Amino acid sequence: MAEVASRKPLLSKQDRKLVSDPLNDNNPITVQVLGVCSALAVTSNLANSIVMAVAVILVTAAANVTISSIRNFIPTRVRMIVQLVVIAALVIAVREALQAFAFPVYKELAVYVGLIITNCIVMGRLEAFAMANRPFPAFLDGIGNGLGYGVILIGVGFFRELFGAGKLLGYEVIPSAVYDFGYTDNGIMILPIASIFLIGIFIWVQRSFNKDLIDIS
Amino acid sequence: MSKFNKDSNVYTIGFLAVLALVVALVLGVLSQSLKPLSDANIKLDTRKKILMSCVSDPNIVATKDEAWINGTYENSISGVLIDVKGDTVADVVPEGSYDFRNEVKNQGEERQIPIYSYTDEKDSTYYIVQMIGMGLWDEINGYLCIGSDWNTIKGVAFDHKGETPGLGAELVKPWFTNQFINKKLFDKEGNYAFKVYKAGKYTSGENGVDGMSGATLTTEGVDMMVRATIEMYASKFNPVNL
Repeated sequence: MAEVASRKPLLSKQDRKLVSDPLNDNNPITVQVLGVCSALAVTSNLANSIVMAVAVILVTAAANVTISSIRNFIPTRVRMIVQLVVIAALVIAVREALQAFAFPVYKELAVYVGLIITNCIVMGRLEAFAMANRPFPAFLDGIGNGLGYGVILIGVGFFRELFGAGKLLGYEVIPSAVYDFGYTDNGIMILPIASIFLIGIFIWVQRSFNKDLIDIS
Repeated sequence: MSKFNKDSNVYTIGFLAVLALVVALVLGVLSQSLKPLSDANIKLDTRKKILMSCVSDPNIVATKDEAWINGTYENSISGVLIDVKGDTVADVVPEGSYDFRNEVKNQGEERQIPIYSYTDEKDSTYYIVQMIGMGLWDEINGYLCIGSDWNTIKGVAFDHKGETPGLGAELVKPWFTNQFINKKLFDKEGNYAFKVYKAGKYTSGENGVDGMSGATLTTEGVDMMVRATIEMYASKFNPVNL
C-alpha cells in the first residue's frame, strides 16, 4: 500500500473518508464481521456498550498511531508480536484508568476490556493500515473504525436494555401502565444470543439501504 | 531505504528488548501513579459490600455516595480478627493490608479470619463473616450477616469476578440475595441444613433458597461457599453436624 503523499489541509476529502467509511460502507462489524464476540458479550446494557465503545476507539486510535510512528523500525519477522505488545500495553492502561476513575464500570467490564487485545478490529487495522501509512491518517483510520464498531455496539446495547429490562442507562423508560396491560420484558434480550439477532437485523437494514454492499463477495 | 538491516537477528532481539523495557516502564509508572486511587476504590467497595449484607434495605446502599458509606460504616461496624479457636487476635481488621484470600489458603493454626459486628438503629447486634468460593469461571465471594443466635441470616452480599452476565452474575442481584433474609442455617437439632437449591427445585422451608436458572454451577458454588464458611467459622457457629 502506498504512503499517503504530500501535505493536505487538516482534513482532506480523503481523510474524511478514512473516518466515514468504517461507519457505513466498510463497517467493521456489519460488513467485515470482525469484533463480533465482544459485541455479543458486553452489550447487555447501554452504559457498558458506551464504555466499551470508547475504550475500543481509544485503543484502536492509539495503537494505530504508535505502530504507524515506529513502522519503519519494526523488524518484519516479529511485527505481529510488536503489534500485540502495543495493544496489550494500551489495554492494560485502559484497565488501570477504569479501575482508578470508574470502579463500578471496571468491576462489570474488567474481563471484557482485557479481551480488547483479541479484538480482530484492532490488530486488523494495524496490519492493514498503520503498517503502511503515516501517523495522522492512521489516527483517523483508528478513530473511524473504533466509531464504526462503537455505533453498532451502542445500537445493540440500546435495544437489548430497552426490551430486556425496560430501561435505558438504568432509568425506567417503559411506563408502568404498559406493564399493567400485560407487557413483559423479553428475557432473551438479556442473553448474549440476542445480539446475534440484532446484528443480523442491522446488517439486513443496512444492506437494504446501501445496495453497493449486496453480493460484495 | 533504511541504513540498517531490519531483519538481522541482532536488530530483532535488540528491538524487542527496547520495546519490552519501554512498555514495562510506562505501565509501571502508570500503575504506581494510579494505585492510591484504585486502592481507595477497592476499600470503598469492600465497605459497601459489608454494609449491603447487613442493612435492612441493601438497595439503598448502592444509591449512596462515598461520605454516607464511610460514615455509616464507621458508626455501625467494627471488625476483629479471630483464630481457629475463635479467640480474638487483632482488634481491628487492617483495611488494605489484610488478605483474606491468602488466609483461607492457610489451613494451619495461624489462620486469621475476620468477624465484623454491626449494631443497628435498635441496638441489636449482628455478626458478619466473610465468604470465598468458586463459581463457574472464577472466584465468587461475599459477606454473610448473621443474628446473635448464629443461626438466622440477616442478609448476604455477593460478588464475583467473571460469572456469565444474565446467568451466574445474577448472584449479586436483589432477587437472589433477598431470599436469604431470615432463613436459618441449622435445623432444630443444630445440624447444618441450609441449601441453595437448583433453580426451580426449592418450594418452601426456612432452610433453603432458590438457585439461578441457567447457572447450575454458580448456584452450586454459592451453596458450597456458604457451607465452607460455616466450617471455617465453626468455633462461632458450633454446628452439631456439618
